[in-house]
Amino acid sequence: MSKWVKNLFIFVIILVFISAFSSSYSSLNIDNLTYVLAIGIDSSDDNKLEVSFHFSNPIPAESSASEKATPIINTVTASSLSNAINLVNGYQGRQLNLSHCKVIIFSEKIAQRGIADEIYTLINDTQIRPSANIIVSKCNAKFYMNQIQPEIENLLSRYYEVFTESSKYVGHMPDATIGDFFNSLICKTCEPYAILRWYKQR
Amino acid sequence: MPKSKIGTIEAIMLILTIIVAHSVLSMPTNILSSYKSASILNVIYVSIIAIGIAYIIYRLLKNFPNMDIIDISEAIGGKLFRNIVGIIFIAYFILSSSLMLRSFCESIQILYFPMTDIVFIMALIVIAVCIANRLNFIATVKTNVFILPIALIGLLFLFFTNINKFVPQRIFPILGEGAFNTFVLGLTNLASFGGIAYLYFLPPLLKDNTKFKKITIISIVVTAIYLIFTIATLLFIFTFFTNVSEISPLYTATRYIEFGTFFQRLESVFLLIWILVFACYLSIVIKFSMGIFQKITGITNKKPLIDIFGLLILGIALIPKNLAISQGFEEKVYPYLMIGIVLVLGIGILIFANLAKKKQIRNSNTKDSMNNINNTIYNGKEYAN
Repeated sequence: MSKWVKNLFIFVIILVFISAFSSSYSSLNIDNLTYVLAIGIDSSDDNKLEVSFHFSNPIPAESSASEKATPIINTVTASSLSNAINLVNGYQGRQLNLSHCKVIIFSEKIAQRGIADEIYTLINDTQIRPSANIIVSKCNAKFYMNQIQPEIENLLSRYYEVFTESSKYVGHMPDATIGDFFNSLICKTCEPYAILRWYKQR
Repeated sequence: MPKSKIGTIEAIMLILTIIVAHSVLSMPTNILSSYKSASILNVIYVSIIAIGIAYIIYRLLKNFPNMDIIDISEAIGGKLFRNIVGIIFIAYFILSSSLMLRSFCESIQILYFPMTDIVFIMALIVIAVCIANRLNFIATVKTNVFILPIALIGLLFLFFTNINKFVPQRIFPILGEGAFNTFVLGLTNLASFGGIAYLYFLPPLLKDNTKFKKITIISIVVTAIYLIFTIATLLFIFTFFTNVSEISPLYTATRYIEFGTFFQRLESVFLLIWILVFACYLSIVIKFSMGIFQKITGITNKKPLIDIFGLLILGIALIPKNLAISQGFEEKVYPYLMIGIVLVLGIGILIFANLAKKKQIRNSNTKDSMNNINNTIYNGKEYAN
């Protein structure tokens, strides 16, 4: 094979691979993704799930450091968590990405019914990290998400990440991650536990 | 000394590549789901047997210095038998590596390239391996010596960084689902020691053949330690792997590594290391397959075979319709293939060859002694005369 043909062959191979991998690159590009910070799951009247997604809202560069980001929460009603994610993906311009999801909030009503199906769905999702915390809220999960207004922390993502740190020095709040929750759920001799929190509904 | 010969460390690393490549696939999941809390006990038990088997292989190969199993097959059964054994070993290497490539690439696709066709992911690895194979064997082995320790240290890192999440009580009940399951059915777990297959082909490649015993024992012992650490990490972190996703369990374990909020998401680094180890594994498979093919056909130039074997691996890897089929092969077919071909056929040939050699020596000794007696009689007659 002459050198010219060899170079042409290599060039064609590179082109083929660039085109093959570009679709994955663009689908996982930060410009095409919406990052979910928290998921809230409530029960709806027709025995379905009311799933709320709390999206990240980066503070524009020109805004001052003290300016707080307003929460963006979208709620959909669906028969399962996967359907809810698909529904939101359907109408939102950007694809949902759960790799920065720090908190999963279940309403007490849903928790009493049993959350094994939702936990299985989440743990099998490669984007969800095992360190995401599980909260059971005595109030509505969506209401809880709306009420979170950390006074000291400007970034909600940062707040969600560090709010369980207090479990290291006080006993009021455990560090209940989805990884531990799942392990306890399928273990015959363990009991899963979650963080119990609520805001008073007026 | 020929430049294509390999040293002790290089040979040990070569054998270890096989276990590291297999461990990043579903092999640990299969062990954990089969033996539950007795997984560590089963691995220790199987490791002791594997060390015994490796020692037997060393003893049997000792009588045939600088010969591999293909040469030995030719010596005992002629060219036809040599060709049959060669084709069986090539088929075993190519089939197992192809389907493992498929499983590995499916995991990569799920994690990082959801919109890319699996063909391109596999082709990229196969092309890289084919290019690497154009260099001589030493280049592949030396690269392996550089990459494999990183993978081994990575496993130790994974073990020690997750130690705070360990629940050691998960080894109880110690016999898992019973002694029969752990010790009798558990023998199929010998398939984890796939590196044994490459021991049959090592003697002619070694710089110093006297080190073969050392290589055999150390490589199998380190494989056993690696396997114990892998299984312990997974068993102590997770409540068995029966219900969790299809991606590599070791990858899932790496997602648990965190050093506060500063040092997170190390799984990408691990995946990069494993991709390199997997490429080394495929390189070794192609090298050995080409070596066997050269012996059975007698061709002088091996280089054109690189692309053919590369394409063969890619083609076979494309056969399964989905990940479930390739994982089904790993779980249900591979252990029996490994035990059948590597342990039963391989050791069988060596035992037969040793018996044949002993018989030959005995016959030649008898002939010599007969000659000696005749000579004595003749000399006696001569003396009498």
